[in-house]
Amino acid sequence: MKAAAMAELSGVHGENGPVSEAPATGGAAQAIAELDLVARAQRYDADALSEIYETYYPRVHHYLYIQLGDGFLAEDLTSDVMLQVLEAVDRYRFRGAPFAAWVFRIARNRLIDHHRRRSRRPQVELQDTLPSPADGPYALAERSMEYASVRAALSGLTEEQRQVIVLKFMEDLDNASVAQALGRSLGAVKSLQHRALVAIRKTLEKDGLRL
Amino acid sequence: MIEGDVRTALDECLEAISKGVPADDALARYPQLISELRPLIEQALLLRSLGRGPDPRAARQEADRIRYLMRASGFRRRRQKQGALRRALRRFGGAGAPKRARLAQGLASFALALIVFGGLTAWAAVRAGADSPLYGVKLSIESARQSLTTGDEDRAELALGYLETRHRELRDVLAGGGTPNHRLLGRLEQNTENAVTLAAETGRPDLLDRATTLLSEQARLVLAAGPQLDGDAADRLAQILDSGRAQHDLVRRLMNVDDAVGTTRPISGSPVEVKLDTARRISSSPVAVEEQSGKSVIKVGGTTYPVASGVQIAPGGVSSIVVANGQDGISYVIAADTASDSSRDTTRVVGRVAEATSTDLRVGDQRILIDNATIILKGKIDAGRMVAVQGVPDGAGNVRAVQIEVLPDDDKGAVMTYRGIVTERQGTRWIIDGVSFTEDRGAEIDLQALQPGTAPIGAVAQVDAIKHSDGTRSIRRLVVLPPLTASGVSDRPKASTAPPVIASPSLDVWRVESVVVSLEGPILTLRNGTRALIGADTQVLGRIKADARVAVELRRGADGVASAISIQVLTAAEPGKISEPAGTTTTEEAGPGATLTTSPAPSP
Repeated sequence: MKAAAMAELSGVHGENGPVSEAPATGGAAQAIAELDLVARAQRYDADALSEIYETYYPRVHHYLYIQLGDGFLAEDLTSDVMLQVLEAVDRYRFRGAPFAAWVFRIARNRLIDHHRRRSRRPQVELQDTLPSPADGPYALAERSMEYASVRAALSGLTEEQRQVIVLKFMEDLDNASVAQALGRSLGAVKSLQHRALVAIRKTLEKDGLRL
Repeated sequence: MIEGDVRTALDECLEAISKGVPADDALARYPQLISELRPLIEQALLLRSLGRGPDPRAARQEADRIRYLMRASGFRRRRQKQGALRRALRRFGGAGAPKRARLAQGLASFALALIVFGGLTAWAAVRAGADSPLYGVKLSIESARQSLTTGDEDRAELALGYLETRHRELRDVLAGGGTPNHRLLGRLEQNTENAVTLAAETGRPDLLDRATTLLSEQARLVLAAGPQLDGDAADRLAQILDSGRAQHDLVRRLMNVDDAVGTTRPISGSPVEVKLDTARRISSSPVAVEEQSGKSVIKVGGTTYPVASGVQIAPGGVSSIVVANGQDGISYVIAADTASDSSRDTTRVVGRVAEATSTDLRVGDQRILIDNATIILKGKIDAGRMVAVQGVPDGAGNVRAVQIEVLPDDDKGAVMTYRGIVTERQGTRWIIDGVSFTEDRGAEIDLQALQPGTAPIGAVAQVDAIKHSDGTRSIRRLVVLPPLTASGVSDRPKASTAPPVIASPSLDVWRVESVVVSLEGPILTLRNGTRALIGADTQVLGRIKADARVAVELRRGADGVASAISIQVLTAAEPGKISEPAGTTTTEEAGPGATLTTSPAPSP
């Protein structure tokens, strides 16, 4: 499977190179559009706030789900995070990283807060997945196994390493955004990324898991 | 090699790959580190290629969205009316301030009122009208009481009571031929917002119904006041009413969404809940409204139905009622139409729901608007369901639904399989090579062949669908196919990290599956009539022979000639049609390379 993934990477492209590229997260036009969107949101423009909601609700949900493994809980926390984003949006100031970095920083703080509370008041998990009506049983089973492996691999990481892996490889943030979300330097993010990948590889090999 | 070098090289490789550089090319820049970097990059790419987790439930997401927008609406209003000074003051005791701060403010105001005016004055003040010199004291005492009240329900009750007080004051001022002063209007605005918001936050339908009634009363007052008020006061009153209605609309939508999640709805002022899926309309005459033990009942034929509290029975006679079974086994009237309602110029739309949200539907080309007054009979409305809508045209081409009935779906339709290029996707609606499909309830949509975050536009998709007698097509399963790769079809048809070969929504790039008729020189001719030019850059996977089934990706050049981007030999000789269902088949051509086969649906 890994060979296939690599082959696909090295594989077919259009005549003029890759037909579609990764989104240019650092593009000036995109940054300006985002700043405009946030400025409108800071005036509580309904369309801008809706756009922010539509963009970030699924991303925050995924970010939380991958770390919690509980779809219902992820929904609850996502709802909290989006309300916190709304309450704090007028205090947001651009500091060189996309708005996403700021949103994920709030999400991370909420997650830490949740873990802290739960460590004080342990709760029983009733259900660890949230079946989606669009999922067939096979897709659900496959996805469930995948995510079990991912969670197993992530559980061996430090909290910061885990954040780097989730934000960079699952939420597609660039290094600068990850750095801002974690409040760390770029060098620290690169170092965390390297160590996290090495640790994941070791964990997966040791436990005989595969992604 | 020191760790810093590996770390930097790893990051640079990942950066290059994210910009579209093939992994091998990126790794080739660090020949001495390849053995160390390759496994880490494989790991990183596999993590990146994982499909997203389960989506949040649509109903939950919608409910959260409305709460979020409600909160935003509150912020927006506060921002509009609060100057810098008020904002600074709010930190010490506004609606959003912590309870302790509000409590402190309340105590301070109350103490101040008592000290300054004395108990007797305060007693007189609570009876003061809007034009009384003691009116300011009255408002201060109200603020203090509001701040000192802690329970959510008590606060809501208080807010509703104050709104009633404002209405009384407004009525008195208007009866005396006067104009409401700015203090009355300012407090009316605040009370209106608080009443709706706090009532909604309790989750008690009876409180929300009371807020609804008060808003209706306010609308009547504004209407009655119009002729005698000057422009500014009339505008202000209308603005307050609009703002309250907007807030109320959001709250009601939220309640509707919550309804959609379950199958029961609480009846206001009653401990019972009615089962929505048992709701039915009764219109046999005569319909008689009577009082029994102080409660309204409606008699239809020989049956008596109690009227759920909060249901408005307008004077002028009832022409039909909607009843639903309560969880206590009694059928309650949950809506009643007056004779004048039934004589309105109504229209009926029957068809399959193409898209459904909490506020509107699309049935065929018709947009149907849903609001709080819409009665939904027999079950939930989802895309793919047959419905009969009774409604009133709104003048803008839409129909405002009075009643929507979910019809039993006897139309089993015909099973069809279709393959083509996705040219458009809007909500649950897909256009594939010009043919429209709608996601059915429980449709399985497999987008795993796409890169995470990319849209399916331009990708080749295979659809298993039901074609209904009305011409609509409901998707049961849709799979976006992986792009062809140098190593053949991926053994794991998901999460390709390679960019899709077809990235343009234009039909100038398309994909064909057919059988080879001939290969003469550079011209490949297929059984479906496609002729393609094979060039030096065409990727050929397998040996092309006559009668071989091939998948060809084509691009139309500026000269109109189709050239093959890639050709993959699927089978050496044609075994039969691809994706051929059992039964008789028909074929439709709906676009370049699209094949469509249909057959009768299997019996359930």
